[in-house]
Amino acid sequence: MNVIEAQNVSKSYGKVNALSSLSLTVEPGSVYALLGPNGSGKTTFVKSVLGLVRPMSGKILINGIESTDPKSRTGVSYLPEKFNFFPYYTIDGVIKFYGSMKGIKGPELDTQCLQAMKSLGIDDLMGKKVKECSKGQLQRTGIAGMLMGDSNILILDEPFSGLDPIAIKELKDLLKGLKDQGKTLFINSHILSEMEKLCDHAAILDKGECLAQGELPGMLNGKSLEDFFYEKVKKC
Amino acid sequence: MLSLSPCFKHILLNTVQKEIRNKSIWSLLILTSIVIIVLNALLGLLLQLATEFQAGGAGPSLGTLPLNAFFWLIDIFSTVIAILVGVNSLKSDEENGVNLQLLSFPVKRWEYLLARILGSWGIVVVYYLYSIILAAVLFSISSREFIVGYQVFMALVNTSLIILPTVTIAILFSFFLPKLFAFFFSFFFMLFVTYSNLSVGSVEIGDYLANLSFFKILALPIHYLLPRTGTLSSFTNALLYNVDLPIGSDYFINLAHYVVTIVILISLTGWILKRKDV
Repeated sequence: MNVIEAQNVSKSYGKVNALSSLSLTVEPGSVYALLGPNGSGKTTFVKSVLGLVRPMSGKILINGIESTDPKSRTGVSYLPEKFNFFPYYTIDGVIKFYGSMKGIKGPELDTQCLQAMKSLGIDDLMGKKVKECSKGQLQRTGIAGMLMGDSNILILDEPFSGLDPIAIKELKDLLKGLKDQGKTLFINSHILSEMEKLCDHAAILDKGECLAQGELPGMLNGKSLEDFFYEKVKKC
Repeated sequence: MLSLSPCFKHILLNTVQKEIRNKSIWSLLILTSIVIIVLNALLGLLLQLATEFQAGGAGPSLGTLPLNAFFWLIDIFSTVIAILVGVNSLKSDEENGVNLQLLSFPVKRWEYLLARILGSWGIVVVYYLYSIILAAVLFSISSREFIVGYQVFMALVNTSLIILPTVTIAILFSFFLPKLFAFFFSFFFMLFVTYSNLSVGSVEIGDYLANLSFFKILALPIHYLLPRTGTLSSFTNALLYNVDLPIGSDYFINLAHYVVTIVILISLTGWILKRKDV
C-alpha cells in the first residue's frame, strides 16, 4: 500500500489555482521530493496532506486513511517551513512537548529527548529558551521534535531553509540515516542540488500543476535534476 | 461516546502555561488587587470620618455598598480578562506558527478548540476566585463581619458560567478580526448580549413585541440563541446584593437554556474552525 496517495487534488484561493488535479503516490521507504519554484503549490499540497488545508476536490489517502480523518496523521511527523514555537519554552521543553503529543511518557520522554538533541548536535541548547535561539537552531529543534516517537512518515517543508552549509550536510546525513531505517521522507524543497543527492522519487510542480513525476534517475533522461527542472518549468 | 485523544490533555496544559505568561492578565490582576485594597481603605476611612463627624449620634452605615462596588469591579475586570484571553487563545498560536504544528498531530480540531477554551476559561475563573476572595476578606476585616457565605460561592459558579461564552465569543470573533478589533467587538457584543437579556427578560413577551425598536428586534435572536449572560449576571446580583430578579427568571430554565446554547455556540465555533484553512 502506498503511504501517500493523492487523487486529482485541486485547491484555489480566489482566482488563483494553487493545485490543479494533482495526483501522486509515495511508496513506503522512499525519499520523495516535491520540487517547484516559489508559489508553485508545494506548501498547499503538504498542508492538504496534513489536513490543514481543505482541497476543493479530489482526495488524499495516508496509509489508506483519508487525510480529513485525524487518525491519518498517526505515525506522521511534520516540519513546517519556518519552525517556531512559543518563545518562553525551552528547547528541550519543545522537544518533550512533541514527544508527549506522540504519547511518550515518563523517563522514556527524557531519554528520547536527549537522544534526539544529541543526533542534531543541539544538546548544548538544553534549558535555552526558544526566543534566545537562532533560525538554524530552531530548525534543528523542529527536526529533533520530529524524531520523537516512532513516526514512519516524515514530511519536511523546506528543511534546508535557514541552515548553514555544515548544518545542511549534517541534516542530509541524518535524513539518509532515517531513509536507511526504512522511514518514508516527503520533502518539499527548491534546493535542487541537495535534493538530487537525497531523493529517489520526485515531482515537479509549477502553478499548481504537476509537470513531471517519477523515479530518479530514470525520469531525468541523463540530465541533471537542475537542467531537467529548468527545462520543464521554462517550457511551462 | 465522546472520546478525547491523548493530545487534548497536553494542549489543555499548554493553554494554561501560555495564558499564565500573558502580561495583560498579570497587569489586570495587579490592578484589581491595588484597586480593591485602595477602595477598601478609602471606604473605611470615609466611614470613620463620617462617624467622627456625627459625634455621639448613630454612625452612618454604608451597608454592603463597598462590597457591591468590589463585585461590580471584579465582574467588569473578569469580562475584560475573559475577552483578552479568548482573543489571544488561537490568535497567538497563529502568530507563533504553532497552530500548524499542533494540528499536524492526530488531534481533532474541536479537541484543539475545546482545550483552548477550557484552559482559557480556567485561567479567568482562577482570576475571579482570587479577586472575589481578596475583596470578601478585606471587607470582612474592615467591617468586622464575616461575609464569605454561600452567596459568594454561588456568585462564583454563576460568573464562571458567564466567562465560558465570553471566552468562546472572543475566540469566534478572533477568527475574522485582528486582535484589537476582536477585543473591542467582543466587549461591545457582550454588552449588547447583557442589554438584550435584561431588555427581553424584564417584560412579558407580548408587551415587548408591542413596543419594538431597531435594537429590540436585534435583541430578540441574541436573547434566545445565545447563552443569557445578562440574566445569569442578574442572578449573581440578586445573590450578592439582594436585588429583585427580572420577571420570569426561573434559574433552572435559564440554566437549561444556557447548557443548550453554550453547546451550540462551541459547536458553531468548532464548525467554523474545521472549515478554516490553516
